[in-house]
Amino acid sequence: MEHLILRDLDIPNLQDISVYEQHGGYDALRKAVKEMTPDQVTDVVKASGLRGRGGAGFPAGVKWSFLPKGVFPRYLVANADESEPGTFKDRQIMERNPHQFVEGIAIASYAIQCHNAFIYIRGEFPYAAQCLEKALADAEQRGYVGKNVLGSDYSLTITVHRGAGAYICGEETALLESLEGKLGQPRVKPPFPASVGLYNKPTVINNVETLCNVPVIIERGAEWYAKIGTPKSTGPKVFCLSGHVNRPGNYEAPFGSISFRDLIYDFGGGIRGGKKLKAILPAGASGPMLSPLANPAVMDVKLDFEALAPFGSLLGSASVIVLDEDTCVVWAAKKMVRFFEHESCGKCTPCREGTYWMSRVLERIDAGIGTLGDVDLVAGVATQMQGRTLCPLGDFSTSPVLGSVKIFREEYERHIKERGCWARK
Amino acid sequence: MLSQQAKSEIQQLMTKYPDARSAIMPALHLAQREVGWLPDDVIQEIGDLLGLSKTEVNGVATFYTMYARDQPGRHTIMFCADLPCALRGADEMLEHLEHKLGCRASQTSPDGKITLQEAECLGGCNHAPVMLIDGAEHAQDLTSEKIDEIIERLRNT
Ligand SMILES: Cc1cc2nc3c(=O)[nH]c(=O)nc-3n(C[C@H](O)[C@H](O)[C@H](O)COP(=O)(O)O)c2cc1C
Ligand code: SF4
Ligand code: FES
Repeated sequence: MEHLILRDLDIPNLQDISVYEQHGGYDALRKAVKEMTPDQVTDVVKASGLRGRGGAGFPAGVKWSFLPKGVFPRYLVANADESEPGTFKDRQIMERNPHQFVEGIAIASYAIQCHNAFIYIRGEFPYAAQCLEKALADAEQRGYVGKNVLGSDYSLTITVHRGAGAYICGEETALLESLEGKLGQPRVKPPFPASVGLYNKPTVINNVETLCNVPVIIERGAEWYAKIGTPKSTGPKVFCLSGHVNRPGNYEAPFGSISFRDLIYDFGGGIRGGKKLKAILPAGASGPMLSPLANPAVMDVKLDFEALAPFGSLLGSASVIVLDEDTCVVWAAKKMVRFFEHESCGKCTPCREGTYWMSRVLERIDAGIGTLGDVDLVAGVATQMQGRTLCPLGDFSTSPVLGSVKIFREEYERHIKERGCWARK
Repeated sequence: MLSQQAKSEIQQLMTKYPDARSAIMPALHLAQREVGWLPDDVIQEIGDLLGLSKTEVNGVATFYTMYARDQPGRHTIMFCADLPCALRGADEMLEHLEHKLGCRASQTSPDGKITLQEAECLGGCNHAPVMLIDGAEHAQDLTSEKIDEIIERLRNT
């Protein structure tokens, strides 16, 4: 099937503006600005059912329509902070199909009547930032951004803002703080950014992949788009596949069209070395682990935003990390919790202290010096943290622990009894 | 000390944002590119330009991991140690790198040339293991041979 987002896989040199134009690039922007009112654009995006690809799946058009009437200026911020372990889709988009992203920003900005949009890109993506700067310069030269977009009376400036190493800045309010030149720490919600956002003004924040769907929707229409995927999760999704598979990479497929089995064994070419599958992390480090050993049905459920809820997990931004039969889950959980310990912004105590303690206990069990009570101890710390933290990072950090203890408690206990890891010789 | 040119570029940056304070991160990036790191006097200069106290600028500079408040070697390697990379041999590659450099993560090689840092996911898990060189260049699909070549190149530049 034709790619709608990862179009660089079908079209060579798509990062060149002339190639992008030859393939219909910026036609959607032209249509929006010349033939549609801003509210019409929002209505089409609403009708398409497009949901946010940054993890939470909130309907994009609905979010845009939340901006309070008559309050200006308004801002659009594209979230290109992509830092979830196992996520690498936005980077590919920005490096190889940057104009679709720019076009999406321009259309979304027009829809909400924003004249000043920002791209917050993580500091560790220097090449992608360069690609964006080039794409923006070319787009401006051809009149797609800047003063009087395509000869209309709508003007738009897009500024690339580079982060400097902090996962928490992917959380939308921490991102806004960071963009305002402060420490990247989440704000208390409400108020939500739609009413009090960047510089206290109404603000829309959308993920890179979300915005890349917008030109497709405007060009081909909401009805056409909504037929892709499932009624509640419309459109295509980019799945990031990593870990113990033969062909890790970004794979695009309509929501509800593929299962983990399809993704891992067809797209990904199966498990490396012909080994067996032990566990799947469906949402990077942030969603609870799944395993066919615990429930074989998980392999065949068709993936959309809601599909994993019955299994106690979530799809998030669809960063699927695959662990083979030889992987030690205690070690894997330790690695992920260490990530959250490092990335906790320190603003609230349960998260700061909790990630610290979970990390220490997991290290101890992994090193073979844990005691049998440690399994309940670490699970207890995680349970205590749930729902008590200011932002979702705190909850995310409990997933590696609670998910793995639930399925692989024996393995934890074996570690403790045998004083170390049997999987790692 | 920042050059005149850097200072005027920072002033330029301040006009790009609705609120000049937003220029603090790009200003720190710019200063670090010019000076190699962010010593106290540079923090002060940036504060003076932006109308912020040294403490405020320092707070921001220390919050983010890519800003160097201590003098690093001539080159900095950020090596990804997260799970997806670790599943594809990153721990072994990191050991090789430490051995090659003669230092551990968060340290600088004895010849003072290369600082090694552990990083979080660098968005290249499909080409694991991955490291970022001088905050500017991804090196992916790392093997020990590839690492050796890169280290030779960095030692000589
Ligand atoms: C800890 C944390 C990290 C996040 N990181 C990202 C990120 O890197 N990219 C992203 O688009 N959204 C990220 N999000 C989600 C954003 O807060 C926000 O929901 C999203 O950018 C909204 O865009 P969307 O509706 O288009 O998905 C993160 C959320 C949390 C709590
Ligand atoms: S939950 Fe963690 S990351 Fe989120 S605000 Fe609290 S300390 Fe910061
Ligand atoms: S885990 Fe290393 S690049 Fe993603």
